[in-house]
Amino acid sequence: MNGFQISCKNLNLGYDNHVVAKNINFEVNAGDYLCIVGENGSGKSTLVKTLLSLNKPVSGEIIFGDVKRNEIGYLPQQTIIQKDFPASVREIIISGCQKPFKPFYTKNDYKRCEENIERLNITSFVKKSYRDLSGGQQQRVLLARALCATEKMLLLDEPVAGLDPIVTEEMYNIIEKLNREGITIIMISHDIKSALKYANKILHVGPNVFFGSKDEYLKLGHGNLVFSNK
Amino acid sequence: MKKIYLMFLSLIMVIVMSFNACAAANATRATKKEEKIDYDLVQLKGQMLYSQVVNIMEDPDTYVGKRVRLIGNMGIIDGADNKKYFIVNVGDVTSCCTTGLEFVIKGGSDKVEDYPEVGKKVRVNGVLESYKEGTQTYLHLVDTDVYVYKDKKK
Amino acid sequence: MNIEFLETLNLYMNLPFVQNAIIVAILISLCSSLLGVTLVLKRFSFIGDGLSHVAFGAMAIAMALNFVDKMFLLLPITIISAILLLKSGRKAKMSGDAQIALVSVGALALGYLIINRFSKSANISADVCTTLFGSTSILTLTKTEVNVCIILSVVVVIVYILFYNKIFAVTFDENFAKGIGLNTEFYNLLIAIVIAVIIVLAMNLVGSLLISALIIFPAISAMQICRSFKQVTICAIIYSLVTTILGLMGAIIFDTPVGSTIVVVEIVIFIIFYILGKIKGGIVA
Repeated sequence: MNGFQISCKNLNLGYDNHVVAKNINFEVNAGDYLCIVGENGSGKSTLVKTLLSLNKPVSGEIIFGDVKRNEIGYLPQQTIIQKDFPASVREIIISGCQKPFKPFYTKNDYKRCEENIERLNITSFVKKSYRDLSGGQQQRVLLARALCATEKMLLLDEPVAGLDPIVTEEMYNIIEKLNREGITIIMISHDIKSALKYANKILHVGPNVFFGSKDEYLKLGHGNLVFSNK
Repeated sequence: MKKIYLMFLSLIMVIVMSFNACAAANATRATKKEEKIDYDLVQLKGQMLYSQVVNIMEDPDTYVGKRVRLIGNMGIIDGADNKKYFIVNVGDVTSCCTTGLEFVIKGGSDKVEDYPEVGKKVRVNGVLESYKEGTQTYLHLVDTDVYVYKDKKK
Repeated sequence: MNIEFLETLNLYMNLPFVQNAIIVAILISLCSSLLGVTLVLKRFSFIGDGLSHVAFGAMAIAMALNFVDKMFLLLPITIISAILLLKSGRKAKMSGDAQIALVSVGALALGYLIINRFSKSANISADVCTTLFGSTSILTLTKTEVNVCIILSVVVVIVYILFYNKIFAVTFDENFAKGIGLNTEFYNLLIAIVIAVIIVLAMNLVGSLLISALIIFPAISAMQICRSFKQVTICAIIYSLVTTILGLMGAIIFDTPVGSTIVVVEIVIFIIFYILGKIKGGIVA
């Protein structure tokens, strides 16, 4: 049950040889709930992009175990264009079943799409157009899409950004439910409080890098990491 | 949504039907003259006439040997060695797209006096023929009847 | 009066070059509406515009060199420009659209200069006019041009159907698509090449200045009233076919320039869609 999935050693992240974050070391096993926290601009999004091979690390290595490079379900931050995109909920969710060299969807794909719709309580608004949905509903649709891509690991980039408190709570509950079903969660979050509530491992990115269990983080007093060495 | 689909479907059907509605009737209209006209272009005006003439020039094999009738404006081009070429000009309203079809009047004259005045509206009726001059091949109408329109009184 | 009208229509319908024009127009409008949806949603509309000016420049060179079937020069030049514009648009230190504007205006100016100086054509202004605005080019296609149009259009449609789902994925969310292992570079390249092909074809119909209309109007009109990507695509196709045929026939019957007539019809029908969209959305225009 505790299969090793991703491990990063001495990772230096950045763009075009310009380093944004240094010395990233962490390991993720199956079923983990890892929260990546840190200040704005500390390199969290860069780390995510690097994990997904959207970006090359400046140095260091990423080792993939049970999870392959393209077996990570990604929930990116939405662009303005996407919020207004003319597409049906189903069209978006099933696009998660895309694979290279596969032009058309199979019956299995459609089945999984329906399963994930039910699983995330999307049925009530499944017939609507994506552009007519609320922020929380849109996030759930994108989450369903990520689930169609994989059942092993979800990589969520600030999934509750801009959502109101009730919807935020709903979202966290859904994510927790998925984690309990065995899906590894890696989430970037601004919300340290919730991170500490749900996660079992914390990766703090910034001038001081920390990786460890939630308890260790609490003992260190996360305030120290954030405010020291400014 | 369905209503709009249906509206457009019926619009397309109307358009498609207007293509097929008419039988493949030839555009030929016999005139009182004896010669049978193969391609009567007098119904065409403006850019349609221009386009048809250009198409004739682009695809001479289909049209050579056939009798063509069209309406245009008289023109003369001066060639080398004082040779004159007599042209019927066709074009669209803006004269942006214009072209001319050379013709030789019945009797084969090459004197300016035998041809209509430049600029006059003319109707020509002749047989399309290709000929070589130097290395180039050209098209012209031969055995051409010419009818000159009287100027409209203002 | 009705019979006279039908007779005139019959007369025109029997002309082979009109039949060719209709076939080619249908195919071109089909292809441009398909790719237009993607282009508009990816905010790449300016690429269509820039490429069309490059195509004009290439056409100028083809005229100066006295090519008969100009498409064989236009296609490679436009395709290469499309690839370059797309790649450099992403990497350029200048913002992508400034670069495209440069290329765009440069090609236009250079093209006109070349035509002016080097064209051996009998009527230069006719050539320029028809290349920019598409007045009679659709009515004076050579047999080769018609065949090339047909083959290319069929290829574009087949490619679109095969890659429809991928195109959707890459259009909606490129980052996610990359994350699940799709080769987004390839698909963006494919889209750029297909756009280039369509622009070269569409130049025959509406001229290079008006191509943007043919690509953009169907998409934005469809998006006023449609709720799914599939609906938008189908609606754009229908809109494009209807406006093109109406515009073409109108131009033939009333002796107006083909390109402008089509665009005017598009504007009118877009307004209708816009109003419908507002009413549907519960807000009266």
